[in-house]
Amino acid sequence: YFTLGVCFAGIHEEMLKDVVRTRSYQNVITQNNFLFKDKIVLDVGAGTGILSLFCAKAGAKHVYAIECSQMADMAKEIVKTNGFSEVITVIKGKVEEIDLPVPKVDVIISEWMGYFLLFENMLDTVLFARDKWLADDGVVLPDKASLHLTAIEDAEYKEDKIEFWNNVYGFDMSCIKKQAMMEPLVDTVDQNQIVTNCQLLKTMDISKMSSGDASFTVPFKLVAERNDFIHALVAYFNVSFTKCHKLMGFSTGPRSKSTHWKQTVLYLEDVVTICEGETLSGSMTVANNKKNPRDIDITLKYAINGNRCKVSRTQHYKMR
Amino acid sequence: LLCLFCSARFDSDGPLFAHCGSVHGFDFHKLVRELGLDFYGCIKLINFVRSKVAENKCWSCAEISQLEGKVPWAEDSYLKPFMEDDSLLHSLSIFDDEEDEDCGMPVVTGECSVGNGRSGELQGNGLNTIIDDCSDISARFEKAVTTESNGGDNNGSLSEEQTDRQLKITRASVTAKEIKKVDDNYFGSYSSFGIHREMLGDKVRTDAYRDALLDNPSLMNGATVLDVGCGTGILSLFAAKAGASRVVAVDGSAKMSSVATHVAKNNGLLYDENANTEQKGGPQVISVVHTKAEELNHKIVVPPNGFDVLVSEWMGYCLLYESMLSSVIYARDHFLKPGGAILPDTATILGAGFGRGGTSLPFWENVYGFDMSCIGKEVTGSSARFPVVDVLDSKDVVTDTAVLHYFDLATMKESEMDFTASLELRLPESGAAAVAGVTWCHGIVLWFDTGFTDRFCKDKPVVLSTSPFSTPTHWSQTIFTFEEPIAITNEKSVVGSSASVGSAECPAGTIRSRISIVRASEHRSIDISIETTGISSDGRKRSWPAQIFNL
Repeated sequence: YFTLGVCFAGIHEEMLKDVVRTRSYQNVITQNNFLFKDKIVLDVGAGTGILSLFCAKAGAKHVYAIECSQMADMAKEIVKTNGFSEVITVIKGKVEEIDLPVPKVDVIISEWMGYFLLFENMLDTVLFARDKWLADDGVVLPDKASLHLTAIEDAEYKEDKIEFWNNVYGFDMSCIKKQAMMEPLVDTVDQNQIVTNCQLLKTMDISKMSSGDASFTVPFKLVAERNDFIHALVAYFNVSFTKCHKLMGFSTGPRSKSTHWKQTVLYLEDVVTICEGETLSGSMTVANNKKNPRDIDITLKYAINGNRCKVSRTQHYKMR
Repeated sequence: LLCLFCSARFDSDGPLFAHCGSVHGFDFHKLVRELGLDFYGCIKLINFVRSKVAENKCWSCAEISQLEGKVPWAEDSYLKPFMEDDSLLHSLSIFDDEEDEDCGMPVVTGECSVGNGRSGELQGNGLNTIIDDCSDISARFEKAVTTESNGGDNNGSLSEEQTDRQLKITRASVTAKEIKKVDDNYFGSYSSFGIHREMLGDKVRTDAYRDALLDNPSLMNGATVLDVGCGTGILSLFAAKAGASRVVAVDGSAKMSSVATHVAKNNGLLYDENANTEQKGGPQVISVVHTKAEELNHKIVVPPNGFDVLVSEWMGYCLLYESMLSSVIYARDHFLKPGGAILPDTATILGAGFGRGGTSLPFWENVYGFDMSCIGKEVTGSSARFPVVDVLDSKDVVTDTAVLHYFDLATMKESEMDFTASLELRLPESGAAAVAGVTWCHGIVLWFDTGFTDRFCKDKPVVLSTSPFSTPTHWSQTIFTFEEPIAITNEKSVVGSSASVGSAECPAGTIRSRISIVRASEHRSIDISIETTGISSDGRKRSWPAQIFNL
C-alpha cells in the first residue's frame, strides 16, 4: 500500500467522470465563446488536455497546455488524434521552469483545486503563471473560490472510523484515536446529517490574491436548526467564474450533487449536544505546514454554552 | 564507534571527532563547514578516509584546499560503507536537528522503543547494547596501522586521486541517497492512520493472521517471535495472546513504533525489563524497536538465528510491489533459528484471462466527444507503464486459473524474488464450453495466495487468498490488458485456416504468457514484462510483442 504512481490513468478517469467538475468547465467555455475567440490561452496543469480541447473548439487562437507528468505525452497524442495540433501546444514541464513562446496570454484556465480546496493544490502554480504571463486585462478561470463550514451528526461513521480503535480484535488501541482524529477524512456527507447553518469562512480572488492569502484565521458561528448531536464539522468549497456572461460555478457542498472532492470531515473529540437555536462558535486557522509545505495544518477552536452542553476545546488536524 | 585513524573507540561521534582533531590533526567539522558538505558528503568523506587509511595513503596534506571543484570522495562508491558494520555511519549526529520526526506521543522512559537510532540514546537502557562484532575488523585495522610508514610517502598518492576523479562515474545500482528518499516516502506513507484502519479493517487479511497465530498453540506457546514491519503491532498482540514467551516487533517508521509501544503497554503486553522474576512469565512479552529489519542487531542485542517464529505481513500489490520481502528474507536468514517457523511460509502468484468487461477501453474512446483512446491503449500498449490495481468482477474471468509462480518463503533466496515463469491459459472444460462463437481474452489478471501451511501451522493451517473469486481484500487484483484481444476456444478441432492464431477465424486453444517480475532500478518498484503467444489446437503459434509495465 504505497500509492505513488499506482492507477495513474485511473486518477484522470475519476476526474473526467466527475460530471459536475468537467461539465461545469465545459459549459463555462462553450457558453462564453467571447472569452476565448482569437485569444491566447494558458492551461495550467493540463492533464489529459480536456480543458485545452474545449478552448480550442471554442475558437481560441492558440492554447498552451502545461503538464509536468507523463500524461503530457498522452495529451500530445490526444491533441493530434483530434486534429488540434495547429491550435494546441502541449509543453511538458513545470510551470516554474518552462518558457512560453509568447510574452503574455489573455486567459489562464486551470482546474487546481484539491481536497479541502487547498490540500495538494496547484494554487501557487496558477498564481505564479498569472504573475508571469497574464496580460493586464487578462482573465483567470475560475477567478473566485470560497471555503464553507457546517456541522453534522455522524454517530455511525465516527463509530466506524474513530471508535473502531477502542476494540481491535479484542485489543485496546484507543491511544490511536486522538491521532486518528487529527487526520481529516475526505468523504461524502448526506445532507440529512447537517445540523446547523452553513457558514462562509473565506473567499479568495484568484485574479488578485497572493499565495500568503491561502493561510488564514477566521471566526465562525454555527446555529443549530434542530435538536441533535454534533460529531463533526464539515468543510467544502465553491468555485465561481464571474467573468462569464452569467454567473457560473459549482459547489462541492453536501447539498449539491457529489463530486470527486466529496467533503472534508473534522471529527470533534466531544460529542456536542445542541438545541435548536443554540450556537457552536469558534475559529479555524489554516496554514501550510512549515516543514512540509504540501501538508496543511488546521487548528480548530470551538465552544458551546448551551442548555445541555458546555464545552470548549482546541483541536489540531493535519492533512498530509 | 571506531576512530578513523586508530583503534580508539567512542560512544558517540562528538568525542570521536574531537579525538581525531586533537590526536590525528583531522578536523572533521571544519572540513564539513568549509566544503559545505551535506549528510551524504559526510558519509562519503568518512568512507573515503577509512579507505585511504587502510591503504596507508595520506588524504590531506593541504591538498584538499587546492582542489578545484570536485573532492576526491565525490564518487558514489564512497556511499558504500568501507568498513563492515561501521557504526559511525549510523551515528552521525552532525545534521540531527533537521531529522526528528514528530511522533506525537511522548516516549516513556524505561521503555525500549528507540527514538531515532542515535547511539547516544541507547545508553542506560539495559536492553540496548550495540553488538561488538568489529573484532575481526579492528584486527585488520591494527595490521594496517602498524605497517604505516613513518614520514616518507605522503604525497605520491594524489596523482592517483586525480586520475580517479577523471574516471567515469558509473551508476550500476541505486545510490544510498535515492534509497533514503524512497524509504522516507515509504515509511512515511504508513504513518497515516487511515491506511492502518483500512488494513485492520480488511477482515480477510487480519482474520487469516489471527487464526494462524491463535489457533496454532503447539507452535506459538512459549515461542520467541519476531514481527517484521509491525505497524500498530496487531500481529505481536496476537502472538503474545497466543502464549509467546517473547515478541520483538520491528518497524521502520518512528511514529508507528511509538504507536505500537503505547498499544502494547495499554494492553498490558509490553515487556518490562525492570520487572522482577515473579512478574516475568506473565503476558508482558512485547518489545518494540524502531529500526529497519536489516539493522535490528545494531539497535538491540539479538542472538543470531535465535527466534523460533518470524511473522510478517509484507505482501504488496501483485505480491511483490514494495519489495518488503527482501527485508523478511534478511530477517529470516539472520534472526530465525534453523528450522524456525516463518509465517506465512508459502506464496503463490496465480492468474487468469479476462474479457472486455475487465478493461476501461470503452471509457477512453469517447470523453466528452473527444477520442482519448490512446490513454486506454497506454494501459495496454507495448510501452504501457502502469498496470491497473482494481477488483475484477469474477464474472469477467474467462479462462481457467493457472499458477504462475510459487515461492517457498522458508527456503528461497533473495535473488529468487526476481523471476520468469509462464502462465498457460485455457477456457474451462465444462460449463460454458458450449458457448457458440468465440471468447475474447482481453488480458491477464494476477493475484496471490499466501499459505500458513501445516509445515509450521500443524494445528490449523490457513490460506489468505486475494483471488477474484473470494471476498475482495485491500490488495484487489492486478490487471494487465493485452494490446489487442485474443480469441480463444476449447473446440478440439479447428478448421485449417490461414488466418493468424488468436483471430476470430482461428482462435487459440491455449494462451501462454511468459511473465517476468523483477525489481526495478527505482527502489521498491517492480518491472513486469509479459510476452504472450497464442497456440492453436494444431500447434501453430502467434506471438505478440512484449509489454512492459512498472509498478
